[in-house]
Amino acid sequence: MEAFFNGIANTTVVFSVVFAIFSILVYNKTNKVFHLFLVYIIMGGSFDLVSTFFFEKKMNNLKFFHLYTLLEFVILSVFIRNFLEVMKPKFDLQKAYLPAVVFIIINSLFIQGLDIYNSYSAALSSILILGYCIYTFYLLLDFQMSKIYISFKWIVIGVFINHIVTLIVMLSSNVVLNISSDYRIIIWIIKTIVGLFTKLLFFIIIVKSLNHPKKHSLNGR
Amino acid sequence: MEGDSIVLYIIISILVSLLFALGVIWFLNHAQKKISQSRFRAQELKLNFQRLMLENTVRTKEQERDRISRELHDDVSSQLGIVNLNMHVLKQRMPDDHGLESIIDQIEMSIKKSSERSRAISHELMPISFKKFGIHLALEELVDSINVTGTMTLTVENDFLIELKDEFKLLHIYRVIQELLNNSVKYAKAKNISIDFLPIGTEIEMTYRDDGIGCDLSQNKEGLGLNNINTRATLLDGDVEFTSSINKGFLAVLKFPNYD
Repeated sequence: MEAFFNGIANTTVVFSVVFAIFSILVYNKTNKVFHLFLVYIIMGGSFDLVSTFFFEKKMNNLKFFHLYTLLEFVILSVFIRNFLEVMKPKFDLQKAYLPAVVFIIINSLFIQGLDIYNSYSAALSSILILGYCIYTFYLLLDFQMSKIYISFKWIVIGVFINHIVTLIVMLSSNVVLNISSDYRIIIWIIKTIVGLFTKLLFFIIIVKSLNHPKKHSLNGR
Repeated sequence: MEGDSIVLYIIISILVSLLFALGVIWFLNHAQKKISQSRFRAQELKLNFQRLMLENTVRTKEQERDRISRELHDDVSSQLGIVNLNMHVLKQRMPDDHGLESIIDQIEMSIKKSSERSRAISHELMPISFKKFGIHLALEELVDSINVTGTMTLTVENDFLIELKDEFKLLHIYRVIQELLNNSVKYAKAKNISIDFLPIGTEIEMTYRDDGIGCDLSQNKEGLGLNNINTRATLLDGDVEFTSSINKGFLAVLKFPNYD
Protein backbone atom coordinates (compact mmCIF):
# COMPACT_ATOMS: atom_id res chain seq x y z
CA MET A 1 0.00 0.00 0.00
CA GLU A 2 2.80 2.39 0.94
CA ALA A 3 4.60 1.70 -2.33
CA PHE A 4 1.42 2.46 -4.24
CA PHE A 5 0.98 5.69 -2.29
CA ASN A 6 4.61 6.68 -2.94
CA GLY A 7 4.09 5.97 -6.63
CA ILE A 8 0.99 8.16 -6.81
CA ALA A 9 2.57 10.88 -4.65
CA ASN A 10 5.73 10.95 -6.78
CA THR A 11 3.66 11.04 -9.99
CA THR A 12 1.68 13.98 -8.59
CA VAL A 13 4.84 15.86 -7.61
CA VAL A 14 6.47 15.23 -11.00
CA PHE A 15 3.33 16.31 -12.82
CA SER A 16 2.98 19.33 -10.55
CA VAL A 17 6.56 20.43 -11.29
CA VAL A 18 6.24 19.79 -15.03
CA PHE A 19 2.97 21.73 -15.05
CA ALA A 20 4.66 24.59 -13.17
CA ILE A 21 7.50 24.70 -15.73
CA PHE A 22 4.94 24.57 -18.54
CA SER A 23 3.05 27.45 -16.90
CA ILE A 24 6.25 29.55 -16.80
CA LEU A 25 6.86 28.82 -20.48
CA VAL A 26 3.33 29.73 -21.60
CA TYR A 27 2.88 32.61 -19.15
CA ASN A 28 3.23 35.32 -21.82
CA LYS A 29 1.21 33.36 -24.36
CA THR A 30 -1.77 33.11 -22.04
CA ASN A 31 -4.47 35.69 -21.62
CA LYS A 32 -3.67 38.13 -18.80
CA VAL A 33 -6.77 37.14 -16.86
CA PHE A 34 -5.28 33.67 -16.24
CA HIS A 35 -1.89 34.94 -15.08
CA LEU A 36 -2.86 34.79 -11.41
CA PHE A 37 -3.98 31.20 -11.82
CA LEU A 38 -0.67 30.35 -13.50
CA VAL A 39 1.10 31.89 -10.50
CA TYR A 40 -0.97 29.51 -8.34
CA ILE A 41 0.13 26.53 -10.46
CA ILE A 42 3.78 27.66 -10.40
CA MET A 43 3.58 28.15 -6.65
CA GLY A 44 2.00 24.68 -6.22
CA GLY A 45 4.77 23.05 -8.25
CA SER A 46 7.49 24.91 -6.32
CA PHE A 47 5.99 23.97 -2.94
CA ASP A 48 5.60 20.33 -3.97
CA LEU A 49 9.25 20.22 -5.07
CA VAL A 50 10.60 21.93 -1.95
CA SER A 51 8.39 19.88 0.41
CA THR A 52 9.47 16.63 -1.23
CA PHE A 53 13.10 17.70 -0.93
CA PHE A 54 12.66 18.46 2.80
CA PHE A 55 10.76 15.19 3.27
CA GLU A 56 13.54 13.20 1.60
CA LYS A 57 16.11 14.94 3.85
CA LYS A 58 13.88 14.06 6.86
CA MET A 59 13.47 17.77 7.64
CA ASN A 60 10.28 19.42 8.91
CA ASN A 61 8.36 20.83 5.95
CA LEU A 62 5.24 21.95 7.81
CA LYS A 63 6.21 25.63 7.64
CA PHE A 64 5.75 25.38 3.88
CA PHE A 65 2.22 24.09 4.34
CA HIS A 66 1.42 27.12 6.50
CA LEU A 67 2.74 29.47 3.86
CA TYR A 68 1.10 27.47 1.06
CA THR A 69 -2.34 27.58 2.75
CA LEU A 70 -2.11 31.35 3.11
CA LEU A 71 -0.88 32.00 -0.43
CA GLU A 72 -3.28 29.50 -2.02
CA PHE A 73 -6.22 31.10 -0.24
CA VAL A 74 -5.21 34.65 -1.19
CA ILE A 75 -4.44 33.81 -4.83
CA LEU A 76 -7.62 31.79 -5.42
CA SER A 77 -9.77 34.40 -3.67
CA VAL A 78 -8.35 37.26 -5.73
CA PHE A 79 -8.50 35.19 -8.93
CA ILE A 80 -12.18 34.31 -8.42
CA ARG A 81 -13.01 37.85 -7.28
CA ASN A 82 -11.48 39.33 -10.46
CA PHE A 83 -13.78 37.20 -12.60
CA LEU A 84 -16.86 37.77 -10.46
CA GLU A 85 -16.44 41.56 -10.44
CA VAL A 86 -17.69 41.71 -14.04
CA MET A 87 -20.95 40.05 -12.97
CA LYS A 88 -21.46 42.77 -10.34
CA PRO A 89 -22.03 40.41 -7.40
CA LYS A 90 -24.11 41.58 -4.47
CA PHE A 91 -21.59 40.13 -2.07
CA ASP A 92 -17.97 41.29 -2.21
CA LEU A 93 -15.61 38.36 -1.55
CA GLN A 94 -13.08 40.78 -0.08
CA LYS A 95 -15.30 41.04 3.00
CA ALA A 96 -14.77 37.33 3.65
CA TYR A 97 -11.16 36.83 2.69
CA LEU A 98 -9.52 39.68 4.59
CA PRO A 99 -10.60 38.42 8.07
CA ALA A 100 -9.76 34.87 6.96
CA VAL A 101 -6.23 35.90 6.02
CA VAL A 102 -5.82 37.47 9.46
CA PHE A 103 -7.06 34.24 11.08
CA ILE A 104 -4.71 32.05 8.99
CA ILE A 105 -1.73 34.17 10.06
CA ILE A 106 -2.77 34.21 13.74
CA ASN A 107 -3.40 30.44 13.66
CA SER A 108 0.04 29.76 12.18
CA LEU A 109 1.84 32.04 14.61
CA PHE A 110 -0.09 31.64 17.86
CA ILE A 111 -2.87 29.01 17.86
CA GLN A 112 -1.57 25.82 16.19
CA GLY A 113 1.94 27.12 15.63
CA LEU A 114 4.32 26.57 12.74
CA ASP A 115 5.41 23.09 13.78
CA ILE A 116 1.92 21.55 13.80
CA TYR A 117 -0.16 20.76 10.74
CA ASN A 118 -2.43 23.82 10.19
CA SER A 119 -5.69 21.90 9.96
CA TYR A 120 -7.81 24.83 11.28
CA SER A 121 -6.54 27.27 8.65
CA ALA A 122 -6.70 24.66 5.88
CA ALA A 123 -10.27 23.74 6.84
CA LEU A 124 -11.36 27.39 7.01
CA SER A 125 -9.60 28.13 3.74
CA SER A 126 -11.37 25.18 2.07
CA ILE A 127 -14.77 26.17 3.50
CA LEU A 128 -14.40 29.73 2.19
CA ILE A 129 -13.08 28.61 -1.18
CA LEU A 130 -15.99 26.18 -1.50
CA GLY A 131 -18.30 29.06 -0.66
CA TYR A 132 -16.71 31.18 -3.39
CA CYS A 133 -17.09 28.28 -5.82
CA ILE A 134 -20.80 27.81 -5.04
CA TYR A 135 -21.35 31.57 -5.27
CA THR A 136 -19.53 31.55 -8.61
CA PHE A 137 -21.74 28.71 -9.88
CA TYR A 138 -24.79 30.67 -8.79
CA LEU A 139 -23.63 33.79 -10.64
CA LEU A 140 -22.61 31.82 -13.71
CA LEU A 141 -26.09 30.29 -14.04
CA ASP A 142 -27.51 33.34 -15.77
CA PHE A 143 -24.39 34.65 -17.41
CA GLN A 144 -23.69 34.58 -21.12
CA MET A 145 -20.26 33.03 -21.17
CA SER A 146 -17.37 33.72 -23.48
CA LYS A 147 -14.57 31.18 -24.01
CA ILE A 148 -12.64 32.82 -21.16
CA TYR A 149 -15.54 32.32 -18.76
CA ILE A 150 -16.02 28.71 -19.86
CA SER A 151 -12.35 28.07 -18.93
CA PHE A 152 -12.91 29.94 -15.67
CA LYS A 153 -15.96 27.78 -14.91
CA TRP A 154 -13.90 24.59 -15.35
CA ILE A 155 -11.10 25.97 -13.19
CA VAL A 156 -13.63 26.68 -10.44
CA ILE A 157 -15.06 23.16 -10.88
CA GLY A 158 -11.53 21.75 -10.40
CA VAL A 159 -10.96 23.91 -7.32
CA PHE A 160 -14.36 22.85 -5.98
CA ILE A 161 -13.66 19.11 -6.35
CA ASN A 162 -10.17 19.48 -4.85
CA HIS A 163 -11.29 21.51 -1.86
CA ILE A 164 -14.38 19.46 -1.06
CA VAL A 165 -12.10 16.44 -0.57
CA THR A 166 -9.50 18.55 1.26
CA LEU A 167 -12.21 19.76 3.62
CA ILE A 168 -13.35 16.22 4.52
CA VAL A 169 -9.73 15.22 5.16
CA MET A 170 -9.08 18.35 7.24
CA LEU A 171 -12.27 17.93 9.29
CA SER A 172 -11.36 14.34 10.05
CA SER A 173 -7.65 15.05 10.56
CA ASN A 174 -7.80 14.63 14.35
CA VAL A 175 -9.35 11.15 13.91
CA VAL A 176 -7.02 10.26 11.06
CA LEU A 177 -3.98 11.08 13.18
CA ASN A 178 -5.06 8.53 15.79
CA ILE A 179 -5.43 5.58 13.44
CA SER A 180 -2.56 3.45 12.19
CA SER A 181 -0.52 4.70 9.26
CA ASP A 182 -1.69 1.74 7.15
CA TYR A 183 -5.23 3.03 7.29
CA ARG A 184 -4.21 6.68 7.11
CA ILE A 185 -2.46 6.06 3.84
CA ILE A 186 -5.74 5.09 2.15
CA ILE A 187 -7.12 8.56 2.90
CA TRP A 188 -4.01 10.22 1.53
CA ILE A 189 -4.13 8.06 -1.61
CA ILE A 190 -7.69 9.23 -2.34
CA LYS A 191 -6.76 12.84 -1.67
CA THR A 192 -3.67 12.59 -3.87
CA ILE A 193 -5.61 10.97 -6.71
CA VAL A 194 -8.23 13.73 -6.57
CA GLY A 195 -5.41 16.31 -6.47
CA LEU A 196 -3.78 14.72 -9.52
CA PHE A 197 -7.10 14.62 -11.35
CA THR A 198 -7.77 18.32 -10.72
CA LYS A 199 -4.22 19.21 -11.80
CA LEU A 200 -4.83 17.32 -15.04
CA LEU A 201 -8.08 19.23 -15.49
CA PHE A 202 -6.23 22.55 -14.94
CA PHE A 203 -3.57 21.48 -17.44
CA ILE A 204 -6.20 20.79 -20.12
CA ILE A 205 -7.89 24.15 -19.39
CA ILE A 206 -4.59 26.07 -19.67
CA VAL A 207 -3.66 24.28 -22.91
CA LYS A 208 -7.10 25.07 -24.35
CA SER A 209 -6.93 28.67 -23.15
CA LEU A 210 -3.80 29.20 -25.26
CA ASN A 211 -6.15 29.51 -28.24
CA HIS A 212 -8.08 32.34 -26.62
CA PRO A 213 -7.49 35.85 -27.92
CA LYS A 214 -4.71 37.23 -25.73
CA LYS A 215 -6.07 40.75 -25.47
CA HIS A 216 -9.60 39.84 -24.40
CA SER A 217 -10.33 41.48 -21.10
CA LEU A 218 -12.98 40.33 -18.65
CA ASN A 219 -15.05 43.43 -19.31
CA GLY A 220 -14.71 43.10 -23.05
CA ARG A 221 -15.53 39.40 -22.75
CA MET B 1 -11.20 -2.96 13.46
CA GLU B 2 -11.84 0.52 14.81
CA GLY B 3 -9.40 1.93 12.27
CA ASP B 4 -11.23 0.02 9.57
CA SER B 5 -14.58 1.63 10.31
CA ILE B 6 -13.06 5.11 10.66
CA VAL B 7 -11.37 4.80 7.30
CA LEU B 8 -14.60 3.44 5.83
CA TYR B 9 -16.55 6.42 7.19
CA ILE B 10 -14.02 8.86 5.88
CA ILE B 11 -13.93 7.18 2.48
CA ILE B 12 -17.73 7.20 2.37
CA SER B 13 -17.69 10.89 3.34
CA ILE B 14 -15.19 11.64 0.58
CA LEU B 15 -17.24 9.68 -1.96
CA VAL B 16 -20.45 11.39 -0.86
CA SER B 17 -18.78 14.80 -1.10
CA LEU B 18 -17.42 13.89 -4.53
CA LEU B 19 -20.89 12.79 -5.60
CA PHE B 20 -22.24 16.08 -4.25
CA ALA B 21 -19.57 17.97 -6.23
CA LEU B 22 -20.46 16.05 -9.38
CA GLY B 23 -24.14 16.72 -8.72
CA VAL B 24 -23.45 20.45 -8.38
CA ILE B 25 -21.46 20.41 -11.63
CA TRP B 26 -24.19 18.48 -13.43
CA PHE B 27 -26.83 20.88 -12.10
CA LEU B 28 -24.74 23.89 -13.11
CA ASN B 29 -24.26 22.67 -16.67
CA HIS B 30 -27.85 21.50 -17.01
CA ALA B 31 -29.31 24.73 -15.59
CA GLN B 32 -26.99 26.84 -17.73
CA LYS B 33 -28.12 24.95 -20.82
CA LYS B 34 -31.78 25.39 -19.87
CA ILE B 35 -31.34 29.09 -19.14
CA SER B 36 -29.47 29.75 -22.37
CA GLN B 37 -32.11 27.77 -24.30
CA SER B 38 -34.94 29.81 -22.77
CA ARG B 39 -32.97 33.02 -23.40
CA PHE B 40 -32.49 31.93 -27.01
CA ARG B 41 -36.21 31.16 -27.34
CA ALA B 42 -37.12 34.56 -25.87
CA GLN B 43 -34.73 36.24 -28.27
CA GLU B 44 -36.18 34.27 -31.17
CA LEU B 45 -39.72 35.27 -30.15
CA LYS B 46 -38.66 38.91 -29.90
CA LEU B 47 -37.04 38.76 -33.34
CA ASN B 48 -40.10 37.05 -34.82
CA PHE B 49 -42.33 39.69 -33.27
CA GLN B 50 -40.12 42.48 -34.63
CA ARG B 51 -40.18 40.85 -38.04
CA LEU B 52 -43.94 40.50 -37.93
CA MET B 53 -44.28 44.16 -36.96
CA LEU B 54 -41.97 45.15 -39.80
CA GLU B 55 -43.84 42.97 -42.25
CA ASN B 56 -47.18 44.42 -41.18
CA THR B 57 -45.84 47.98 -41.43
CA VAL B 58 -44.50 47.39 -44.93
CA ARG B 59 -47.66 45.51 -45.93
CA THR B 60 -49.87 48.34 -44.68
CA LYS B 61 -47.68 50.84 -46.51
CA GLU B 62 -47.98 48.85 -49.73
CA GLN B 63 -51.74 48.48 -49.32
CA GLU B 64 -52.03 52.21 -48.77
CA ARG B 65 -49.91 52.87 -51.84
CA ASP B 66 -52.13 50.52 -53.80
CA ARG B 67 -55.24 52.28 -52.56
CA ILE B 68 -53.90 55.76 -53.39
CA SER B 69 -52.70 54.49 -56.77
CA ARG B 70 -56.17 53.13 -57.59
CA GLU B 71 -57.84 56.32 -56.37
CA LEU B 72 -55.57 58.38 -58.56
CA HIS B 73 -56.00 56.16 -61.56
CA ASP B 74 -59.70 55.32 -61.31
CA ASP B 75 -61.07 58.43 -59.68
CA VAL B 76 -58.85 61.48 -60.11
CA SER B 77 -57.79 60.61 -63.66
CA SER B 78 -61.38 59.85 -64.69
CA GLN B 79 -62.62 63.09 -63.15
CA LEU B 80 -59.92 65.01 -64.98
CA GLY B 81 -60.92 63.23 -68.20
CA ILE B 82 -64.55 64.32 -67.71
CA VAL B 83 -63.50 67.93 -66.96
CA ASN B 84 -61.36 67.89 -70.10
CA LEU B 85 -64.30 66.62 -72.17
CA ASN B 86 -66.59 69.27 -70.75
CA MET B 87 -64.03 71.95 -71.50
CA HIS B 88 -63.90 70.70 -75.07
CA VAL B 89 -67.72 70.92 -75.34
CA LEU B 90 -67.64 74.34 -73.72
CA LYS B 91 -65.04 75.51 -76.22
CA GLN B 92 -67.21 74.39 -79.14
CA ARG B 93 -70.31 76.12 -77.81
CA MET B 94 -68.56 79.38 -76.96
CA PRO B 95 -69.06 82.38 -79.24
CA ASP B 96 -66.02 83.44 -81.16
CA ASP B 97 -63.96 85.00 -78.43
CA HIS B 98 -60.22 84.51 -78.97
CA GLY B 99 -59.32 85.67 -75.46
CA LEU B 100 -61.66 83.15 -73.85
CA GLU B 101 -60.56 80.43 -76.24
CA SER B 102 -56.92 80.79 -75.31
CA ILE B 103 -57.85 80.58 -71.61
CA ILE B 104 -59.80 77.38 -72.27
CA ASP B 105 -56.80 76.03 -74.22
CA GLN B 106 -54.58 76.72 -71.25
CA ILE B 107 -57.05 75.01 -68.90
CA GLU B 108 -57.20 72.02 -71.24
CA MET B 109 -53.41 71.88 -71.30
CA SER B 110 -53.25 72.01 -67.48
CA ILE B 111 -55.88 69.28 -67.19
CA LYS B 112 -53.94 67.12 -69.62
CA LYS B 113 -50.72 67.64 -67.68
CA SER B 114 -52.45 66.94 -64.36
CA SER B 115 -53.99 63.79 -65.80
CA GLU B 116 -50.61 62.57 -67.06
CA ARG B 117 -48.96 63.40 -63.76
CA SER B 118 -51.63 61.61 -61.73
CA ARG B 119 -51.25 58.55 -63.98
CA ALA B 120 -47.46 58.68 -63.53
CA ILE B 121 -47.76 58.96 -59.73
CA SER B 122 -50.32 56.17 -59.75
CA HIS B 123 -47.91 54.04 -61.78
CA GLU B 124 -44.98 54.83 -59.46
CA LEU B 125 -47.03 53.93 -56.42
CA MET B 126 -48.23 50.64 -57.84
CA PRO B 127 -47.48 49.71 -61.43
CA ILE B 128 -50.58 48.39 -63.15
CA SER B 129 -48.49 45.90 -65.10
CA PHE B 130 -47.22 44.44 -61.83
CA LYS B 131 -50.72 44.04 -60.45
CA LYS B 132 -52.12 42.65 -63.69
CA PHE B 133 -49.27 40.66 -65.25
CA GLY B 134 -46.70 40.07 -62.51
CA ILE B 135 -43.09 40.97 -61.88
CA HIS B 136 -41.59 39.76 -65.16
CA LEU B 137 -43.66 42.03 -67.37
CA ALA B 138 -43.40 44.85 -64.84
CA LEU B 139 -39.63 44.62 -65.14
CA GLU B 140 -39.84 44.66 -68.93
CA GLU B 141 -41.98 47.78 -68.69
CA LEU B 142 -39.43 49.30 -66.34
CA VAL B 143 -36.65 48.58 -68.86
CA ASP B 144 -38.66 50.24 -71.62
CA SER B 145 -39.45 53.29 -69.51
CA ILE B 146 -35.75 53.81 -68.70
CA ASN B 147 -34.37 53.05 -72.17
CA VAL B 148 -36.91 55.27 -73.94
CA THR B 149 -35.29 58.33 -72.31
CA GLY B 150 -32.06 57.63 -74.26
CA THR B 151 -29.90 58.92 -71.40
CA MET B 152 -29.09 55.49 -70.01
CA THR B 153 -29.30 51.82 -70.90
CA LEU B 154 -30.89 49.28 -68.64
CA THR B 155 -30.56 45.57 -69.32
CA VAL B 156 -32.30 42.89 -67.31
CA GLU B 157 -31.29 39.22 -67.57
CA ASN B 158 -34.43 37.61 -66.28
CA ASP B 159 -35.35 34.26 -67.72
CA PHE B 160 -38.58 33.91 -65.77
CA LEU B 161 -36.59 32.31 -62.96
CA ILE B 162 -38.50 33.70 -60.02
CA GLU B 163 -40.93 31.10 -58.72
CA LEU B 164 -42.24 33.02 -55.72
CA LYS B 165 -46.03 33.16 -55.52
CA ASP B 166 -46.47 35.59 -52.62
CA GLU B 167 -47.38 38.89 -54.23
CA PHE B 168 -45.80 40.88 -51.39
CA LYS B 169 -42.48 39.10 -51.76
CA LEU B 170 -42.50 39.79 -55.48
CA LEU B 171 -43.35 43.40 -54.72
CA HIS B 172 -40.32 43.58 -52.38
CA ILE B 173 -38.05 42.52 -55.25
CA TYR B 174 -39.65 45.09 -57.51
CA ARG B 175 -39.33 47.83 -54.88
CA VAL B 176 -35.67 46.99 -54.29
CA ILE B 177 -35.03 47.40 -58.01
CA GLN B 178 -37.06 50.61 -58.07
CA GLU B 179 -35.05 52.02 -55.14
CA LEU B 180 -31.73 51.07 -56.74
CA LEU B 181 -32.78 52.53 -60.10
CA ASN B 182 -33.88 55.70 -58.37
CA ASN B 183 -30.38 56.04 -56.87
CA SER B 184 -28.68 55.38 -60.20
CA VAL B 185 -30.86 57.93 -61.97
CA LYS B 186 -30.92 60.62 -59.29
CA TYR B 187 -27.43 60.52 -57.78
CA ALA B 188 -25.09 58.22 -59.66
CA LYS B 189 -25.44 59.69 -63.18
CA ALA B 190 -25.02 56.18 -64.50
CA LYS B 191 -24.98 55.46 -68.23
CA ASN B 192 -25.35 51.69 -68.05
CA ILE B 193 -27.27 49.61 -65.57
CA SER B 194 -27.56 45.85 -65.56
CA ILE B 195 -29.70 43.54 -63.48
CA ASP B 196 -28.98 39.81 -63.58
CA PHE B 197 -30.97 37.06 -61.94
CA LEU B 198 -29.00 33.89 -61.33
CA PRO B 199 -30.32 30.69 -59.72
CA ILE B 200 -28.00 29.25 -57.04
CA GLY B 201 -29.47 26.10 -55.57
CA THR B 202 -32.81 27.03 -54.09
CA GLU B 203 -31.90 30.71 -54.05
CA ILE B 204 -31.91 33.50 -56.55
CA GLU B 205 -29.00 35.90 -56.67
CA MET B 206 -29.89 39.25 -58.14
CA THR B 207 -26.92 41.38 -59.11
CA TYR B 208 -27.52 45.06 -59.75
CA ARG B 209 -24.64 47.00 -61.24
CA ASP B 210 -24.28 50.59 -62.49
CA ASP B 211 -21.30 52.51 -63.88
CA GLY B 212 -22.12 55.75 -62.10
CA ILE B 213 -20.03 57.99 -59.88
CA GLY B 214 -20.38 55.60 -56.93
CA CYS B 215 -20.42 56.71 -53.33
CA ASP B 216 -18.85 56.27 -49.93
CA LEU B 217 -21.23 53.75 -48.37
CA SER B 218 -20.11 54.49 -44.82
CA GLN B 219 -21.46 58.04 -45.16
CA ASN B 220 -24.44 57.76 -47.48
CA LYS B 221 -26.39 54.83 -46.12
CA GLU B 222 -29.40 56.79 -44.86
CA GLY B 223 -29.81 59.03 -47.88
CA LEU B 224 -29.66 56.24 -50.42
CA GLY B 225 -32.56 54.31 -48.94
CA LEU B 226 -30.29 51.32 -48.37
CA ASN B 227 -32.01 50.71 -45.06
CA ASN B 228 -35.29 50.24 -46.93
CA ILE B 229 -33.59 47.76 -49.21
CA ASN B 230 -32.18 45.92 -46.21
CA THR B 231 -35.66 45.76 -44.69
CA ARG B 232 -37.13 44.36 -47.88
CA ALA B 233 -34.28 41.82 -48.11
CA THR B 234 -35.07 40.70 -44.56
CA LEU B 235 -38.74 40.32 -45.44
CA LEU B 236 -37.68 38.19 -48.40
CA ASP B 237 -35.77 35.94 -45.92
CA GLY B 238 -32.67 36.96 -47.79
CA ASP B 239 -29.78 39.32 -47.48
CA VAL B 240 -28.24 42.09 -49.50
CA GLU B 241 -24.70 43.37 -49.84
CA PHE B 242 -23.62 46.71 -51.29
CA THR B 243 -20.25 47.56 -52.77
CA SER B 244 -19.29 50.99 -53.97
CA SER B 245 -16.61 53.63 -53.80
CA ILE B 246 -16.16 57.05 -55.39
CA ASN B 247 -16.01 56.80 -59.22
CA LYS B 248 -16.19 53.02 -59.11
CA GLY B 249 -19.92 52.49 -59.76
CA PHE B 250 -22.35 50.70 -57.53
CA LEU B 251 -22.98 47.00 -56.96
CA ALA B 252 -25.77 45.39 -54.99
CA VAL B 253 -26.19 41.65 -54.59
CA LEU B 254 -29.53 40.47 -53.25
CA LYS B 255 -29.97 36.80 -52.36
CA PHE B 256 -33.34 35.32 -51.49
CA PRO B 257 -34.96 31.89 -51.40
CA ASN B 258 -36.87 31.08 -54.56
CA TYR B 259 -39.83 29.48 -52.77
CA ASP B 260 -42.64 30.62 -50.47
